[in-house]
Amino acid sequence: MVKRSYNFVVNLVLFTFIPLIAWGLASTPASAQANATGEVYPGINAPWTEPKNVNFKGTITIGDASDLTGPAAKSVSQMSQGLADWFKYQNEFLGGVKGYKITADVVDTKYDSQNVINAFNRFIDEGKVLIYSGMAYTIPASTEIANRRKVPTIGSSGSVTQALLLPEDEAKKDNYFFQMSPVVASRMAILVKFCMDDWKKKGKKGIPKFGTFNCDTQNGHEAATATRIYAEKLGGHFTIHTFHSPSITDAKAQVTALKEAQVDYILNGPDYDQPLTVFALELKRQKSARWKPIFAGHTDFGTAYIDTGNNAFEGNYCYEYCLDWTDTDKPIIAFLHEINKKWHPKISQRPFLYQTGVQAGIVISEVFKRAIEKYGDPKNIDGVKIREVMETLKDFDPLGISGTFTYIHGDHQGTHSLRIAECKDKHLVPVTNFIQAVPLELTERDGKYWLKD
Amino acid sequence: MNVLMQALLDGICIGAIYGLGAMGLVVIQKSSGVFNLAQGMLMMVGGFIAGSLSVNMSLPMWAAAVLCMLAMALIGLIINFLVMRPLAGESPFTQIMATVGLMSILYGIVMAIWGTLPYIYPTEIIPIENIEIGVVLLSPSYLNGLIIAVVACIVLSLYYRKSREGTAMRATSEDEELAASVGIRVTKVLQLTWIIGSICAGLAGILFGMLGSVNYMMGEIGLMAIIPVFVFGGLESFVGALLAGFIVGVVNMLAGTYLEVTFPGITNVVPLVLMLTILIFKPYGLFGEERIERV
Amino acid sequence: MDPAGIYRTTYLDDMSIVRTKTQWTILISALILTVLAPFYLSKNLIDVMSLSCCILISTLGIQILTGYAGQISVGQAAFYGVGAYASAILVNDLGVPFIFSVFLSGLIAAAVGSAFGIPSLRLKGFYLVMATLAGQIIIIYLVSHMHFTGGMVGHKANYPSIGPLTFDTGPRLFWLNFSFLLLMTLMAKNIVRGRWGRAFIAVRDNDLAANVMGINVYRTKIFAFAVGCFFAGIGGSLAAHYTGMIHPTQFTLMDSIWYLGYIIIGGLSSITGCYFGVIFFVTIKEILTHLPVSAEMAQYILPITDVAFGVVIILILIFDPKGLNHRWELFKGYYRIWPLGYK
Repeated sequence: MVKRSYNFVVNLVLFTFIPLIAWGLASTPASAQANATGEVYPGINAPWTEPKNVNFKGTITIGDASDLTGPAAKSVSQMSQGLADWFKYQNEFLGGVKGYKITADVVDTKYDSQNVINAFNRFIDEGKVLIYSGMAYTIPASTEIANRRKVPTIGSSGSVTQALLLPEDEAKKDNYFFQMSPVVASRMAILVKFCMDDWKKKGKKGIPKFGTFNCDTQNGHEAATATRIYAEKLGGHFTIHTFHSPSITDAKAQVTALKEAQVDYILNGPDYDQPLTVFALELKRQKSARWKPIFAGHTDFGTAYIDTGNNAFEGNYCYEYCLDWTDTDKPIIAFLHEINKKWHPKISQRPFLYQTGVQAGIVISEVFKRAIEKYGDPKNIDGVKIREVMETLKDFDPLGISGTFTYIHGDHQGTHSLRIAECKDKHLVPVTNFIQAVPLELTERDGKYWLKD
Repeated sequence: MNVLMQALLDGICIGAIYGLGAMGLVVIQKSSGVFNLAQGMLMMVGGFIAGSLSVNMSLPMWAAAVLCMLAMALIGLIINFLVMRPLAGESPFTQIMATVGLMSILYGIVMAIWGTLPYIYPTEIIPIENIEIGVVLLSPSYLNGLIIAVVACIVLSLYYRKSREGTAMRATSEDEELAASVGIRVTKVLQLTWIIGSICAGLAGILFGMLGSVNYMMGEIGLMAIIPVFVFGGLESFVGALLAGFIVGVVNMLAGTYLEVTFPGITNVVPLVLMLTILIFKPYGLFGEERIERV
Repeated sequence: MDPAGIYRTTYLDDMSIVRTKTQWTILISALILTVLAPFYLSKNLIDVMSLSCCILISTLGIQILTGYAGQISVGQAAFYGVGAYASAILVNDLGVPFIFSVFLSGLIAAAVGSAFGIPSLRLKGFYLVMATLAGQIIIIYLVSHMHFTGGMVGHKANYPSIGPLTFDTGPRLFWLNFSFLLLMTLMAKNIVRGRWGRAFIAVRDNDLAANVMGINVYRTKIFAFAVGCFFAGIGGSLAAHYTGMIHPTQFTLMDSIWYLGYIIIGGLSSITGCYFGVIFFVTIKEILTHLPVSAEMAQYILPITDVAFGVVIILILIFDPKGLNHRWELFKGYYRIWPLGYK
């Protein structure tokens, strides 16, 4: 018995570890270029090292208030996990942030603004200087608290009102809400443009008809209005808006209305799993030889359709503002695969929002690094200082996981670029590179402009 | 016109399913005088159990449905044994409050086990594509819901009229003490009503889930859908529940077709508004009898 | 339960809230301790307490409606929401001073609540449960689709201010909410021990007998409904200004269920019971949310709270239907004779 296990260990070392290390050493030098700040990231731009045991000087804890249960839970909980995984990596392999351990305190907000407010108050009372908030629906409440109590909040809501300050407010107001993605209006602009090109590319005649399918939330209305405005601007024919509540049990009414209008492209903004799932089912029921619309929408549908077990979304498009789980040729995604094998051996597939969480982790670590460089001990840092530091981020590259980050005083969009992917064989295959969003004009920075429909 | 016909047809199919859910309420109300607030949550639990069996364990749909009904019978038994039997003889007020507690427990359990992921049943047996009949489209899952719900209603009514247990249940609902004095075991009868009520809920949950998906919001939405049916049906009649189901289903679908797109979410609200109006003019429902109170 | 040597000779004496010097001492020192809480408790605890004050005011309302008058309402959270929206709109959009808007929003909530109660109050049985359930859904639907309520965006509510005084810090908001809680508790206590309270209890116990005794049953039920919703409105209004932003998702059906749970756990037909119920559950919830758990485990915390809540309700109903307040009375009775008790 002893001998057998001895043999096993020797064989393992001889035939598995050594070749792996050798291969690793042989293949890394080419990609082992330090990034702009000169930081070395084992597993991403450098070979894997053993986890370090560092005596941390202290702990930085940020708050993470996310809908871990609720309509958006499935995707949002992934954001929290991505964030937690990055922090774990930061602590174990990079020795924390400037010698300080970084962790996130997670609270489930259950799709309820009251819980959001409680969680935010609790975080701020406990002295946390930065809050990550993975939710879209209850964001207005959190923005209000963040601004009232001057603690920056990071989330990927996409709402214009929350990301941008009006030009006349820029001098006298501070915005404490930081977004991680282009605003919904920009996303829709890129999507409409893509659909127009697609129409021409397929050699179809006439003008394409656009319709929308959106959740009855602030973001959904912004997406609907943006679709109409851009479709009219780019020469498409806009027909009909359909809205739905986040808890619909079937999407019969919406699909019937879209069918009546004979829509060619159905565009969709930020949405949840349940509505998209039933929409896909209903769309499949009602598709016929005479009506074959193309659906293009929020990246969440990727997670919705994979699990539904039907190919309802085949041939449709979605936008992504981060790399996808299948982009294994990119070092950061290969690295995430590796991390998941180590820490979550049961999980083989990660939805897109996991990468968003990792992206947030990278940005937050960078922010604290800069803040500690500037102010020293984290005890001296408060929310206002963190906001000032965040507004110094300029073209910061989060290890290639998404476009670069820029926050300036009136504009907290973060990354400005997204790409479009097509659904083929139940996988999302990117069909474009990252497209830079055109900055919004002055009149378009007013949230009310996007809430007309 | 096509749209109207379509709405009527879908409304009748969906209404039959609501009727089935309301029948579960009727069974319990008739025998023990308790309005079971947890009925919607039971529907959701049934839908999720069948979802787990058919999607995660890849059983065929019919087997999943049968197993799910067995599981629901067990759940009904447990509820009766742990919650309702200790409270037997207490005021209906207390018993309703107990169903409030039950509602919260079932909701928590569903959230902890199944989370918020929607389940879609496999589509091998019941295809997804619509059948064209003249000007309207008939979806097989809707038709399936109609047939099963109507059959269940007929079976339940016959069971109630013809069988020994049915007679015992009717006797108990008339007068509990009198029934006990002629040798009917009232506790057994109450147990049976909870089992039947849960099975009805489970079946309605599966059929409801087949139309779209099973998800954690079904508990609330299901309850809101069957309450008007229950009230219109006059609280105590199976046929009344089914007919009221048709009415509510049609109203629901008409609201869905003509209003939903501009006023999202109104589909579930219109039957409730109708219910409040009906309560003013015809307080005992469309099929119920007026009761005379004695001191 | 009074010490020996205290004799009460009039009904008024019998109904008085504070009866002995010891009680006065305990009451005043407890009040002082609570008012000074911001100086020795953590900020977070003060925030939790501020919000609990709003919830408690609303719970007092449902206690009167359900505990005393016997009318089950499953829409308290919606009426709370009506108060919150009314106050936010009055203060922010119409510029009404906060102090008026609190009471106005209470009245608005009372009017809305009675409108939902009226169709079903003529009927016995559980039509009221269904009508208030319908009310819950309809109100939240309307609130999330009206233009003036802000729809799904929600509505802002400024910090409350009375004259030159603005309540914009945690302790100040706590003092404001707490003083309203005291005021409303006094009001609730006075309602239930007065003429209306006796009418409520008579209607709850046997409405036909009450009718024979000359009580207008219909009017009493409506009044109970109005009072219950008035309290909900006041609580909602304070909560709106406390949180600063209100949104339809704050007032869900499950919240209404929780209100019923609070009074069952605390003890039906008892004003003190409301305090016990709310404090008990807020404590459990806070403990559960403060557990240090990983991102994967955090999603089980709130479902566990729901299950615990339901289990406690059912256990209380089965084993101790009078609730925690009764336990407290037993405890007090035990302690009064503690060292020298006899079996």
